Amino acid sequence: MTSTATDFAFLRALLYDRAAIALGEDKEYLLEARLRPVARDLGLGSVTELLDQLRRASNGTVERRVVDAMTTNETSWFRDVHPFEALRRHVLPDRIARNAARRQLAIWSAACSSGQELYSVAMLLDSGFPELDGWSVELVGTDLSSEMVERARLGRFSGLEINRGLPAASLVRYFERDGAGHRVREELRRRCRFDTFNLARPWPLMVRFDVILLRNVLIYFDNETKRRVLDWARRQLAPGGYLMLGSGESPLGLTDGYQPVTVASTIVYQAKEE
Amino acid sequence: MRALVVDDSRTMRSILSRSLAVLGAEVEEAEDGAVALSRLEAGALPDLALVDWNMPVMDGLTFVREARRRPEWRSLTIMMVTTEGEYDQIARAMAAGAHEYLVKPFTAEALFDKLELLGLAGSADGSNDAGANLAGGEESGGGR
Amino acid sequence: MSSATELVSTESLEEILQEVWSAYLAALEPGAPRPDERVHELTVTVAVRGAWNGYVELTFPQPAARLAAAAMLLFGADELSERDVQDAIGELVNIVGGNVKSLLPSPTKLSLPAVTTRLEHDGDEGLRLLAEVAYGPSDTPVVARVWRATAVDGQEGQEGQQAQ
Repeated sequence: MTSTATDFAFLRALLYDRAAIALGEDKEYLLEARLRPVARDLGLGSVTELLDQLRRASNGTVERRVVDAMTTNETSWFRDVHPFEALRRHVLPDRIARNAARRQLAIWSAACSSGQELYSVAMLLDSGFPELDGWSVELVGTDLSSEMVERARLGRFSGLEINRGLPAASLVRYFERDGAGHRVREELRRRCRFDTFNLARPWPLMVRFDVILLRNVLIYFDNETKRRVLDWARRQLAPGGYLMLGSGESPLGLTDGYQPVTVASTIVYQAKEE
Repeated sequence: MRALVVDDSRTMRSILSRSLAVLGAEVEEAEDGAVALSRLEAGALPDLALVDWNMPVMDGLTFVREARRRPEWRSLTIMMVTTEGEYDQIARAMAAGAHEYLVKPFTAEALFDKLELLGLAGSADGSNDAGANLAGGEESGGGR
Repeated sequence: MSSATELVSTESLEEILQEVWSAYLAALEPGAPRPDERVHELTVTVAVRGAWNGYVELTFPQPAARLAAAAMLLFGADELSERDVQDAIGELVNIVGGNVKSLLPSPTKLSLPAVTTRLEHDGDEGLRLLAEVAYGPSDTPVVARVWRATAVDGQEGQEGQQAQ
């Protein structure tokens, strides 16, 4: 038995209510694909049964699994496209102008997963900003999971992972074949540093960043932690530095330390200068 | 969106058509490059052509070259969808004028991601060459 | 010869199969075949010719071929004709073959897929099995094999020129 339109409507409402995720109408095909393994794991016969369980009674553990299943495997290159356009058109030119004397730039991918986000930034800088030649550019990626950090450092991706949003021209330019998969070329890899990091615990001393990408990770925190992370991020940004969140995410209501700026069909958050 | 799917495998045509239909696209099919050209000549130009490489009569690379020779077809976005995965082949296709390239096997999500790069899906803001911008511009064969 | 063996390792072949499965056959429900069905197999093959010569072969136990086609096409297994099934598994071996081709020295070309009997060692072309991977439901796995045609290499001169 396959799921129905009412299942999809319920799921959309659940995701929005619990995790502020706005699941597009065109994502219905994901319902079966993503949730059937979860249902099977829990010994349920169908996705409808799984969602029925949640309809009847709220269950944090099951909800977490449903949310995870709907949002994992979303890791892609240049995810959502527009934020990278925003970087290219506004954020980076602004910070480069700002730092013209110091010739330094620092960018932090704060929930880097297997590294696609930071490598995407690295590719964007390399292909779009030749003026950074001779600058000291620090590209840092962190994740809670040491396994993810290891994968990111390796920079090796399967054909299926490569297909997710990577322009073909970038593949040819920045990667090399690695068996049945592909690996980021060494000259790009060596510009990126990956470490483990727990966003929810007090942060160690670090440089101040021009851009912090904190995309699609706040949903895993309660409001108190979200507030703390957003405040710490603001202090970790250089004056006028930018925070970038996932689509649909916003710091408004949790902190007023940021000024929203709309560019390239997306909103970036500039740290208010004290 | 109107699309043309060009592949000699009925199975692959079916998979691609189905995925495009999810996005609400109207889809036509062609089993080789020659049939594809005649479809383009016969009717209104689609927005997108998904093209396999290895096909009888006229292969995909030849189709891309032919299509890109016509100034009146400049608005047609062409993506190759093929098993040819060597970087040299990808570079050849881009140089011949393909705008994007997808290596089989691919998931529906991967197809949609590529369409988003091309400004044909997702929340497009009219900047159709996002993909070209991200890749550095001069690498993409799809100048429009 | 040993360098070619490393190029097409069991690990690489397994990764290719896992990706093809994940992309197109995830809907395949493992089913226990009836005893008499186990004997029947369907084998599809593509030949690789050029700077490297050999074959990529997929063997499906019945009714896995029909189920695989149904999973790819999202049709009920009963609604498919023989032609539908052969086209679907032909495309599967084409995709697996294409990905194997990317591991090999270039230039090479793949033949059209063909339904064949299972390949055997040696013979006129000096076939050697380089890699073999079973993937899918444990009682009805699909088996992929990569064969090198050791006796063909000297003859590839003419064919190898045509492509690029």
